[in-house]
Amino acid sequence: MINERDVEVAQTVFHRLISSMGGVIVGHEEIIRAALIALLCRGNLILEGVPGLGKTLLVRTLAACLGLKFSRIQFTPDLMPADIVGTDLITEEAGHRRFTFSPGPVFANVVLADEINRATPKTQSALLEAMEERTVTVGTNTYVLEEPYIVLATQNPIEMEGTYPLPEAQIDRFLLKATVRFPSLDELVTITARNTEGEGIRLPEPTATAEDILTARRVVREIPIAEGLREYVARLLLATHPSSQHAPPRVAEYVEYGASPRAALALINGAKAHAFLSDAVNVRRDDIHALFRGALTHRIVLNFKGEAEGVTIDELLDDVWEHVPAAS
Amino acid sequence: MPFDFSRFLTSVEARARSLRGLSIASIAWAVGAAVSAIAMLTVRLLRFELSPWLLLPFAALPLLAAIVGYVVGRLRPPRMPFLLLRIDDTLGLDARLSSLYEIRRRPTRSIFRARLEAEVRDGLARWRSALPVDRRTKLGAPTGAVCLALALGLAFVPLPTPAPSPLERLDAPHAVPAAEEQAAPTGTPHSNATAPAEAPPPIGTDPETGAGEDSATLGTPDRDETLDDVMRDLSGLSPDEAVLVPLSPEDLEEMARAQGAAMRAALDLLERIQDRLENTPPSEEPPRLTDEELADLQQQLDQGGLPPDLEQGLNELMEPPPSRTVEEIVEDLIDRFGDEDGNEEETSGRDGRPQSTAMPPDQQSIEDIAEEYGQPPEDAAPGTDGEGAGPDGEAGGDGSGADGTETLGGPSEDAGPREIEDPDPFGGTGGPGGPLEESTERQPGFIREEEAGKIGSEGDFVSEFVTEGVPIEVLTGTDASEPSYRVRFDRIDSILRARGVPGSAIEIVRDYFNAITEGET
Repeated sequence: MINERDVEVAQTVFHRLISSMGGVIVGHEEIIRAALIALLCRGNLILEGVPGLGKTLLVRTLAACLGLKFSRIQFTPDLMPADIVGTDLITEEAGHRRFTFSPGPVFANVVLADEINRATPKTQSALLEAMEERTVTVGTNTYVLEEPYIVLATQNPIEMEGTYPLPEAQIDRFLLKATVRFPSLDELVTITARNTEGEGIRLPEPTATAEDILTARRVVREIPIAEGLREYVARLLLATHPSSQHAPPRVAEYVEYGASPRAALALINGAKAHAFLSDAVNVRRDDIHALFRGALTHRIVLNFKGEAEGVTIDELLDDVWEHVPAAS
Repeated sequence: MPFDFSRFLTSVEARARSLRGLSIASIAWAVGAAVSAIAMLTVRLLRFELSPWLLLPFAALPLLAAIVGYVVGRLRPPRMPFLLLRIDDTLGLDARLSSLYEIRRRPTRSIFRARLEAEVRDGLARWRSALPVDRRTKLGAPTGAVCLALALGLAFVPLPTPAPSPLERLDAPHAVPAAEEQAAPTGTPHSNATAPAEAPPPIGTDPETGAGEDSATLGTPDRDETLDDVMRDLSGLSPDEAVLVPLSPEDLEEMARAQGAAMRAALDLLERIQDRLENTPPSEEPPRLTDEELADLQQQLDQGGLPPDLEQGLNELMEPPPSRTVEEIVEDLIDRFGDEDGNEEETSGRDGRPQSTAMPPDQQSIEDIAEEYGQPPEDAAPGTDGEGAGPDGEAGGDGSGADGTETLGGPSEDAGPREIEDPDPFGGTGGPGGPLEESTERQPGFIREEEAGKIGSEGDFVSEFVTEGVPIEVLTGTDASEPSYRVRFDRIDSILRARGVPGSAIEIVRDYFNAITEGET
């Protein structure tokens, strides 16, 4: 049972986390916030951006700030599922041979799946159970992953040769998708200054514990959302479906598949976390708006016409937001 | 003072119910009032004879609908989460009010409730402004009031009575007044009493055969409308424009002198012919007129101004029929018109007044001339059968018109030469037409003729017309009791042609006036 004191402590901890990460990561406040929201919502985050933008550094910094176990998996085409989840090895002990499970890199609190779209779908799918169920099954044994657990994946949108786009089932398991933008001039100057002078980048000391994270998660779940806003989220979600009566014309024309119900959960939970990080005691329409793109953009599939005409999903989501009335 | 959220919710719900009730009531009010107005208008347009007080239930309809609408509106509970979110949006509370409502519904007490109540309390001072009277209510109430006022106005304000359509007027003659029915001979069909065959040919009917013109041109509703318009035009003409213009005493004198001079010249010519014929030695071949005599006769006819009988006699003289000789015709004409010319004897007119019929035309009184121009006698009572006929009763026709006083010198069936004793060149004053309405319904100064229609084999109306004449300003001659008229054919032509009436129909109109005035204009 949480109390008001827990709320205050949790909010304080997360403000401190944001501040610590901001000391290492130049700019990208929205990426930091998205990572923390995914952490608070027991979700996973996929980061998309060209190489060299600091995606890996962001994840490493987050893990460092949290004082949690961190592992990094570099996805390559020849990566096998056993390389991720672990495997049973034959060990000999006291003259007896037996199978002993050797955990893979998914057994950590913060897992960085770098360039996840470079691995084959078979290997990508090895992450599915860990991401959603927080368990790993090897052979006949199922292993529970330690909380807090979060998978942060990155993918390169430029290189299409030798990549394997994530299947819809897997990408749907990412709570949010964040696009890492290129830094501005001032940010670039700061980045070069921090990395080329002195001792270089030093990861921060942990400012939060696993218990702090779990407490904050409970607080976030307690944050109320009005029924009217819940219905509003449902209408937004339906509006992404081309066959829905709520869909704007461009969605009906260019979208093959709309967002799944999991998107609604992601949007509401993310809005709660966003409200928590904003020190609010309830979900507001602004919180929904802040999470709207991140929660839905990777869950919508364009049809051939949309791809052929270069329609972006963000444009369509803007249409949906404008099209759906706030009040019923 | 602690914030009583429950009381606040009760107030919000009550206001929402009231507003919803008002909204539905105003719509019901407007619709009900519109229905009332339409119903009232229908009743008035269809001319149902209902007392305005019987129409009051129509006016009660919108009130009843509004009451029912209000009750129904109040019965339906509002959706509080969405109502509160609306208040949130209006007051800028960032969904705090609706979130507070949400956590109050949870079974356990939320850690955020106290903070939410504290943040909401100060922002609710103007919550009623978030639930204003909606536009439907604002529009519906005045709209309904206007409709209701219209409905009440339609109930109590009399509508102007439009003139009866031609078909309605055609129906009128079938309602034969009781007195007229009694006046008709026993066992004689009413149609016989009215003798439509003796009436002047109605417009659209061939005067020779009595057959109607092509139904495609005359039997259509457009045709009826055209005639109706023409009648309206005629009845609305000013005295200056009237096709029947009164004659002044000077006109009558001038006409009398011209007629007298023409008659004298014609008689002189006839006497010369008679003298030549008497001096001509008898031969086997019947005597014929010389070319010079024929030319003189033609000149006389061209000059005009002759009585119709004399004119007809002269025509016959120019082309004598096989059964009569020139001598006989000349003698007959001299006998008839020569005697008339010199006869000083007074005879009684059709109205019984002393009247000179034999004095020379130029010495005839204006009164007599005026009478020749078709002024009906005052004492020809409606419904009389043949009273308007001349003393001979034959040349004057049988006066079959039931309303001699209402017709303009109704022509007789036999328009042939009259006996010299007949003072009335137009025959009986009894006009044609079937039974007419009571004389009390007629407008003074109008000449009205009606003829009952017949139903054709295909159910269409055949040759039936109602003509309502022109307003007549009575101009008295020497005797104020006997006004005179003149027909202006040019006006008739122009009016009918402007209305698109076919030339053949215009000719019929012209024949009609010719018949009733005997070509005296």
